[in-house]
Amino acid sequence: MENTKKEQCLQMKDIVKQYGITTAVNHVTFCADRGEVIGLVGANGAGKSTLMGILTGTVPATEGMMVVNGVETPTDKYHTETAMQSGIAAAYQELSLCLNLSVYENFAVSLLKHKGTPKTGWRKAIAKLTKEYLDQCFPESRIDVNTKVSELSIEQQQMVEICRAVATDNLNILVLDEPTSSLGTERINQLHETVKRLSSQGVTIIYITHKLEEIIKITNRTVLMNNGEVRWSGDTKSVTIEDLIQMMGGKLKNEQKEDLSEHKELETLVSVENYSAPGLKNITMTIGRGEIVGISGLGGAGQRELLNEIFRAAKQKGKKNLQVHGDASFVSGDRQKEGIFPLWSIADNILISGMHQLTDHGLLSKKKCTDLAQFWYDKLKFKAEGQEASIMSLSGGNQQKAIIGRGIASDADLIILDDPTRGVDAETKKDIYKILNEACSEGKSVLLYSTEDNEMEECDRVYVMNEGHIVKELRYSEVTIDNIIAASFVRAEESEQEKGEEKQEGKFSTGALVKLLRAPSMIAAYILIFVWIMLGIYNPNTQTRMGLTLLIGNTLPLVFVAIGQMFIILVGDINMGIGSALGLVNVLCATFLFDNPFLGLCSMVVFLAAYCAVAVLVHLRKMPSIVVSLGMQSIWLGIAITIQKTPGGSAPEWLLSFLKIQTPVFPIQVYLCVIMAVVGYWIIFRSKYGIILRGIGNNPKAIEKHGWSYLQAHTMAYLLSGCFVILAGLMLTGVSRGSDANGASTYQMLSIATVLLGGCAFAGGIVEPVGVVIAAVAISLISSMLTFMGINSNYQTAVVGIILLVALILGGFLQKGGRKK
Amino acid sequence: MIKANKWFSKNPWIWSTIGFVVLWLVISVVSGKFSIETLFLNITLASFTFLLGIAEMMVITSGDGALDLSLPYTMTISAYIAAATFRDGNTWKGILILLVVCVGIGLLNGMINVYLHVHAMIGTLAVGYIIYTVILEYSKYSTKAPTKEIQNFVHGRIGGLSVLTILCVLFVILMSVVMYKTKLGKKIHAIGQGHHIAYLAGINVNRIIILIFVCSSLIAGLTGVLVSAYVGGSYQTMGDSYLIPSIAATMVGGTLISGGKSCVVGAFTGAVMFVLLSTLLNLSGFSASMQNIAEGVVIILILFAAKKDTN
Repeated sequence: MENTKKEQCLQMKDIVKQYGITTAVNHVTFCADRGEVIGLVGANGAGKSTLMGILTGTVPATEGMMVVNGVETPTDKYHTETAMQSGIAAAYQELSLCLNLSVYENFAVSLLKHKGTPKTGWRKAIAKLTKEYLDQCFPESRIDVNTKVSELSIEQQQMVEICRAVATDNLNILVLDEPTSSLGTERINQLHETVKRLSSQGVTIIYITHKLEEIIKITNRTVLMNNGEVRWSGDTKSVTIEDLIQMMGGKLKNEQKEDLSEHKELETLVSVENYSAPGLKNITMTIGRGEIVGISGLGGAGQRELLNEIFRAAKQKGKKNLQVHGDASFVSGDRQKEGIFPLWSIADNILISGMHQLTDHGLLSKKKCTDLAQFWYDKLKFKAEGQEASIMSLSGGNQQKAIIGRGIASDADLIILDDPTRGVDAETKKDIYKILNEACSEGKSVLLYSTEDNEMEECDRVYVMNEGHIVKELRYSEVTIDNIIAASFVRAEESEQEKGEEKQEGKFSTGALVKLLRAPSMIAAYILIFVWIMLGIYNPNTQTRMGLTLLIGNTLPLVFVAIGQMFIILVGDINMGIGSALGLVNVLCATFLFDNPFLGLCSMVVFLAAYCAVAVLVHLRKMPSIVVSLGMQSIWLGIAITIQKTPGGSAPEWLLSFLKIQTPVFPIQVYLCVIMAVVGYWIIFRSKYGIILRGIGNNPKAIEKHGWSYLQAHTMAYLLSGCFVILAGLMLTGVSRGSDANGASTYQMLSIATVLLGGCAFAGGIVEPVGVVIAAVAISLISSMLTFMGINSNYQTAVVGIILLVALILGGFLQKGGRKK
Repeated sequence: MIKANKWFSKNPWIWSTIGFVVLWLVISVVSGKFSIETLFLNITLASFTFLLGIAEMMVITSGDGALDLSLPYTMTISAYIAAATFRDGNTWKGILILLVVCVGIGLLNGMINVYLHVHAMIGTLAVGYIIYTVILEYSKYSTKAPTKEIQNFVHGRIGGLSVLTILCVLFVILMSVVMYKTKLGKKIHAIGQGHHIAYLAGINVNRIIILIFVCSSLIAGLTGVLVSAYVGGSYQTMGDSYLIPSIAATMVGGTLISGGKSCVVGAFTGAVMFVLLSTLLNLSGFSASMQNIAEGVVIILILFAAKKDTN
């Protein structure tokens, strides 16, 4: 602000970025002084995000030169690492957090050095640092740094995202991309304080937002982009919001909406009476035909729950105190997760909900489809190559238009909009509201929730919510920002009963033991205990040392191979060839390793290399791991049979004597299981790289943005997996005292079932090594148990199948019960 | 160049078609004669893989990494039921039982997936295990093929083409219409791109997923009856050898494993390609193990060549 000496710290010279034939950034030169707060504004698709992507190194520029702190780097040599070393950090609109990691682990992703082992106690140190930063930027954030990010609200997640960028070492330039899109008023003020403080410390801040009031309030200089070019740049003091809108190609705010039908009786479309649901208490409201009704209040007061309940009622019908007399469509502002169909064109995305109008004799009519799509394509003024263009080629705002088009084109009576203008520029917003008003004049009703209070002024009536209650209804001329804000802080009087319930719930959730007993991996433990008791009842010999040696010995191959499969599932892949890979290692052990340890060792190394090559292939060509591993299954099997045509071979002597080592109390087999559980746990949850591996499974892009190599992590997971497959092969050889190329095929599906039973998620990122080991032992013992119980071997597969199903279903219920807080 | 790329990504079946034409040419060169006859025979043999492939394709296209692993067992049990009932002359009763069993398995698969939230791959595997036990018990009674009439029908020929091939071509047309020209088809593809997105777009996701599983079970049942009629009997592991080739053929034919994009024609050409491949390997005197390796390499090569849609 009163920076007299101006020192330039950033110069992006003549930057060009082309995607195919479209130019996203066209010869832009962008400079910044130390300690300056720059507002970067522009319509959707103006190139702001691309320009900032180039600055942070996540988007490679086509041409141009970067000068950071006086160091010149051509853009082709400018990467994420370069940006990080220069102290450039960014908080993104599409949050770059890994939801399956805790808050402090997310900080660790950006703070940890990539090479070398960190000092002992690094977890505590980073957790402490994380807490300090959160307290500094957002006082009383009430975020526990040990909670998983997925358990935080969207607002809290955004706070974490911002703090993490602020926490960057030697922070120099901070990019905030739509930082306040999910923040409440109080948090926004806290953020503005932080921006001022950082700027006075000499940090340059680039602030991107569509909320132009914020630009006027906190920035020194404004840069306005349009169509990939800088349209205007200058002192913020010299412009007004109106000027900015005009320069962005927008028109001035339209005339005040006419007070329509002040007291006209409207036909009721939605009636809600005294309705309660999780997060909603005693809701009473109505929506009439042709009305725009708004839902407002502080963030997370139950607005989203209400929208979802009304949509559900419209789709499934029949609830006595929540009735919708017509069809509804839903438009979500969370485009990536709830809006677009990424594989489809604009046309398909618009038409999907309204297909009943497009059929001819039961088949979709091409002409009707094209006509309707073209109608909306023209009406919504898309910036695209045509209705057949892929939805992914559009900017966020244009994608949002398609989803709104879908909502109206569905011909539903009620259009429900959940924060539809999130990250959408002012011009598009106006278009959107114009179209909604048109829909209303045709007799459709609109139910709108927006995080931006001024958008509520578009509504005829507004219900304001607080903690699950509707605390105020504002009608027609009462709908003003001031009234809404005032009403947002009205607290509903809670009945005594509700208070009692809350207390009880609180007590329940504090029980750490209950939480542990409900953990997904506990199902496996329950089964193990049950099976073990049954074994003891039917055959007391199983409880002796000899029995343990045999029983647990037989489970070892599955224990190891399941851990191997777990590492693959951890990074979001699946290995459909792990069974035959195990068979191959088995053959290698019983032949080469038996004949000649050196040759055997070499063959293992070659196997491991081939196993990792799969990771590289899957990664670089983006091939689906499931099919590649199906192919590999044939290859492993073919090689194994080539080496050994018929079952045979023998186990190396040292291996057998290793498995016979007399260990105190329990046989060595039991210790091996425990060691595996501990090693697995350590790698996943305690090691530095474990954080990265888990992060990759959840959000690889986020990890890459912090300069970690996705390819390297991917390969590492396969390497670990391969090592465990080799160990499993050794165990299998030891147990069977020979080898059979086909013999291990049963382990294929069993390994996947074990991993799931152990409490891991198919989608990647969430694994439980201890649970996997327990599950492996449990599953292996089931068939022994059935044999001892004298059950016909024909029935054994069915019993295993049923137990698996029951366990998973039970696990699902337990988790659900645990989540209900 | 960009146009060509676009065309390739819109017509993913082209890769497996190129594969199958090349293989046929190589076979012709190796065997020393260009024989349409060989090609037709191989296409006939590919029918079963193709049919099962279409069943898998529907499940895969519904997204969420779904696969139906109970299909080979459904195939086998249907073959046994057909043999037992048709031979007694109770054809209509047999068909009714088959329908009930297949629809029942499909409903079970679908409901476990939808209402009990068990991942399709594991749910269907468990159901498969249960069916397998029934097969083991049932197989004591009969291992014969269905009636002579069905056998004659399956081996029949109409104007140079086998009945099975004609059946497959009709099925390709039928499925192409269902998948690309109806509301149902669009909805299946929508679900495959995200269950929650599809729900918010107003699609009854649960009902369609259950329907998909029922359809896939029915197709598998039909395939089972045809296979047992073709080879002249049923055996316990009859379906097993078709599962992996059918998934591979579908993938190679351009169906996206993550769901949301399918290719009916590709499943057909992919199935033919794999049958031709094993014919070629047999012809060249490769051992069974080398055939395994070659098949694996081809799967990976085709995937490698196919231009992937980003995202």
